[in-house]
Amino acid sequence: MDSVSLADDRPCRSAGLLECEVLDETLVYLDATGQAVALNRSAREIWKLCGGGRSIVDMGNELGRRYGVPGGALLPDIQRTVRRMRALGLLEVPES
Amino acid sequence: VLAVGCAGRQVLIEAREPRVRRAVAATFGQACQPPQGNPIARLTLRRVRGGYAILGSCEPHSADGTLADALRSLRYQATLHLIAVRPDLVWLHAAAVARDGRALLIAGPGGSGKSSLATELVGVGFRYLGDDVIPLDPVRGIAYPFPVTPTVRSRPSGPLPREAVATLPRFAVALDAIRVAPGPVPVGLVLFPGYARRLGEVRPWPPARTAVDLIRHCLNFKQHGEHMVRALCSLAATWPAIGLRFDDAGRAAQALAAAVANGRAAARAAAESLPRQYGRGDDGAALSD
Repeated sequence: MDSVSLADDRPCRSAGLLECEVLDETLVYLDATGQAVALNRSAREIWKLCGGGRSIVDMGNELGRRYGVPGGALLPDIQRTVRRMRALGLLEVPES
Repeated sequence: VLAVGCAGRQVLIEAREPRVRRAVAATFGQACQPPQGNPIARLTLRRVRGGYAILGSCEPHSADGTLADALRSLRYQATLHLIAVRPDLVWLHAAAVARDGRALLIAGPGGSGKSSLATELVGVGFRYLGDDVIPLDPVRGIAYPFPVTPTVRSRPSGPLPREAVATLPRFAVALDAIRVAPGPVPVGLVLFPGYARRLGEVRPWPPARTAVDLIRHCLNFKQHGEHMVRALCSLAATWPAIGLRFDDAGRAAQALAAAVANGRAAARAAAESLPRQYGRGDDGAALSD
């Protein structure tokens, strides 16, 4: 699956990851591959919402409410970030 | 027999031929110490038919037969022994210098300018800790000196592919003992070097990225895994870090030294006070962004 569906897919953090808070950012370490990934504040906010229960649209609405912007405006950034995280092995996107 | 020391431990290195012994001493430079007893290993560099052999190695020695290559391998083998006996330390592929009781840690891949920047910083008053491998105490955040003789590449100005940088000739820069940090120094600033075409560029390095890059340059990471991840994240949260891209290491060192010396002794303040771009113009004046 190359794309992530806005409404149907519900991204979920992969199992077996180590998360470390580094000030206002997060480092995620994948023991299986020995890879470490830095998440800045924006990526971390999206990451925290990836619990398997929210679609990308849900995330957009939630972050939009938090920052007082229309949720739809955030969707391209969220989708791109989720796609990138999935490519890095940080997320699983179970098909709905 | 020479004793090479770091972090309180020593490796003995034996070379019988005077010419080879001199070359070994020149390679390890200020890391050579008076033997103190209880060495952790003994390496012997010996001439054999078709080249040189290292006895006592941690790993098989593969070399092209030249003395220069054997010395590189000897340095690597000595480092492996030291890493093995002090697994409690974080061994980084990094250079470091110190001033006013704070170390500037310069971490980066080969060819990124670590050694050039470190030697230029020594030239403007910093004390030398090392140019290739720096052990850190992850609890106290201090860097130990491992002051082997720095070697810098003679490179033309301008961009070069990394593969090309790796093939450039290196030459040793001999340092007097007075220019070497006499003991461990707390890290005050982490710097990630890189190449910039024309202007020197400084930018803050985000803390999680600092941790990722420290992991990337950690030589004994696999031994510790998650424990090391947590330790380096803790250090990255307390150390200010910058990226510094430059073409001219001398000017980069002058800009760094000026920022540290100009009434802003703390490394954090120095990092924050550096102009984002510097070195432009015939008068050498720094530019503020």
